[in-house]
Formats: sequence, structure tokens, C-alpha cells
Amino acid sequence: LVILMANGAKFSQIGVDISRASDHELHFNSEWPTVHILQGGKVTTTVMGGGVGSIFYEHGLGFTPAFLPYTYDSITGEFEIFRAIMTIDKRYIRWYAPGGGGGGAGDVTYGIMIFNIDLESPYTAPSINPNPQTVGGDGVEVGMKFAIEGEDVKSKDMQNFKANTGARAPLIHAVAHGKGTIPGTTSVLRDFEYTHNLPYNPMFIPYIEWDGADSRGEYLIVANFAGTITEGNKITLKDIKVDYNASIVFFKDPFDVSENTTVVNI
Amino acid sequence: MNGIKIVTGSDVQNAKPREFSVNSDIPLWICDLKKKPKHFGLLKASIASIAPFSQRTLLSVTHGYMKTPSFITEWNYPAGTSPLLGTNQTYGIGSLEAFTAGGLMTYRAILSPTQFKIIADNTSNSGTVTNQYVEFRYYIFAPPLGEPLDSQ
Repeated sequence: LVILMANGAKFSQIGVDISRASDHELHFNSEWPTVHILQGGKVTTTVMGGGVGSIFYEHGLGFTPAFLPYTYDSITGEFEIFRAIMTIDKRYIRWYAPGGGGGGAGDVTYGIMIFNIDLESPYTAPSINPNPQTVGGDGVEVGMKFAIEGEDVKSKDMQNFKANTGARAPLIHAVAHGKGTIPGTTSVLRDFEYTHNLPYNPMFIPYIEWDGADSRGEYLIVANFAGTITEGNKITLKDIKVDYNASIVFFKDPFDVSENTTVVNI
Repeated sequence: MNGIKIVTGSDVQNAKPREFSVNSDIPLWICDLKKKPKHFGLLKASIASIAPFSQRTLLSVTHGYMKTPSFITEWNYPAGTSPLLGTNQTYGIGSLEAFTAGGLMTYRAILSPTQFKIIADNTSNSGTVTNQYVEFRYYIFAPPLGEPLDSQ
């Protein structure tokens, strides 16, 4: 379950034979970073209306981290990944009224997860065993656990742990960062292309620098119809403003690996 | 402080947060592998037809946590076809709004205090939507999203 190497260590997920484990079946490998949560939870802030970018939250990290924003329904308690404009830079998360000009001033509540991934620092991890399939287990039921302060390490509740080899944590494969260089649909737009080196379709999160007024350095998730195209190993983010940046965070986790597949026909 | 820090290529004392493989001071975004039903998986959904203003639940997972956890979804739509399909993405994060010949389809990935759900919703009154195929990969992560962020 654990192998200590000359300059590091790796742990497989519990029950997985580490000598055969695919990269994505490791709980961690010191050859690459793992997704940690630097700040996460529900935030309520009073914002300005009229489409102005309001400061929603100050993370104060000094670098531009990858993040996920979630809408929150205060009646049902439901969260959904936000499809409109919320940006992040080296200091703040900013909220823009959905639709650009709509929305009045008042309190808004969102969930946010801020990760230890710098969107502006390109990185590529080594691929040691990039087999997308699950290779099977060794049945070993020992591992590593770190409980949060005040909680018993024997707890059965995974919410009481910071790390636990009985769990899977996304592993960072690459951060692609740069400006668009391919001509876009107009003379002031460019496409950003990146070709990853994994032999499968990995999970990834695309971000682009927001081209609103006074928004240099602010990144938002490219959600829905903003223009992501995949073709084999090549990912294209379409129509980024000239001289603006894009970032794509790739995980080692495969998209279409056949594990716990649910088929629905209605 | 008890714990470990593992980083390669940097002095562990001076390493930046983004460089750690493990830092027991900072929680990992962990998905419990022992939960039943499983907290991760791949949904492959085919919809023959769905009437205007109607919803169908494609997936429902009771997560069993006391605190509302966090999640990520990534979708592939239209799955298995050419990626060069005008305004449609082939892969994306979160929920999906898809313009179809029959109307606007929304595939919503939602986490409630008790359940994770993926719902197909024909939000348009322009007609019945037919012959849909979509794939969603999902992870439910233990770290809570529903608790107030304590650094506020």
C-alpha cells in the first residue's frame, strides 16, 4: 500500500495493489501535487447591483488559485456549479450580476471551493502508469489517516479527515497556461490550444481571463456554451480576447473509465 | 503539530501550498471509496423523448453526510460524436444547457443536504425533445460545502 522511494513516497488507495496501481488509483505520489482545499464553504456577501463586479470574498492568497463556485438555494439547501460570471484573481473572488446588467444590490450566498492550484504557473506531472482502467486490489486494509482537529482518527465519517487512503483525491496532471495564438472568429479574438499527453480523456477544468471592464487578471470557469472544443488530445478554448490568458487544469482522473457505470434509458 | 508534509523538488519548510502531495495541515478533497451507493461514477443516459416543461431524474445518490458535502461533475455531450458541433461543447464542468431541435434541454447536477441528483429538464415550450444522449462523470467529496466559510 505504500512505497518509499529515494526522494519521496506514494500511497495507493486502500485495497489497491501499489505495484500495479494506475496513476489515478494512488492516494498521492510525491512526484506530483494533490488537490488540497485552501478555503471552502458557504459565503454570504452584500453586493452591488447593475452588473458591476462586486468583491464577493477576499481569499488573500497572493496567487490566482483554481476554484469552483456553486449557486445556493436557501429554500432547498441545494448547490449547483455556477454557470454565470464569478471571477478570481490573486486576492479576490468577484461576483457579476447574472445576465450582465440584471440583479439588484443585496445579499447573495454561494458556495466556493478554493484549491492549491496556481492558474498562472504552468506545470506538467510525469506519467508513470497512465492506465485509465482500474487494475484491481490487493485487499489490504491498512493505510494512512489524518483526522481534523478534535476528531477521532477511528471515526467512520470521512468528513472528519484531512487525508485518508480509504478515499480518492484528484491528482493534478497539468496546468496549461498562456495566451491564445490561433486566429478566432474575429480579428480581436484568439483561440487557445493545448494538447495533453495522457492516453485517455482526463477530467479538466477550463478557465479564461474575463474581458469585462477593469477585469485584467480575473479568471472565470468556461462553463457551458462559452466554447470548449475537444478533438483527440487537443483542447481548444475559443475566442479569447487578444493578449488575454487561458488556463486549463487537468486531473489524472479519467472521464470515461468503466467503474460504477449507470446506464439509463428513458 | 502532528502530521506529515510531502513535497518533491522543494524544501518542505518553504514549499508553496500548490506544491504538496500531502500536507496534513490542509484537507485533501477526498471522495470516500467505501460509501454505498458509491460516491463516484459515470452516468450514461439515453432519452428517447421528454415532453415540454417536464423533468426526469437520471441519477440519485443519497450521500449520507450530516453536513452537505461538495462535488464536481463533468459532462460529455453529445457524447461519442464529432467535437466540431458549433456552439455545443463536447466536455464541460457542472450542469449543461443544450440547444436542441426540440427546445432547450437543461441537465442539472445538484447537491442537496441529503442527495446528489442529475436531472434532465425540458425547460422549453417549443416542443418535445427527442433522441438525447449525455454522459456525466461525478464525484461527491466529503469536505463540506454547506458550512459557513470560517475565515469570513
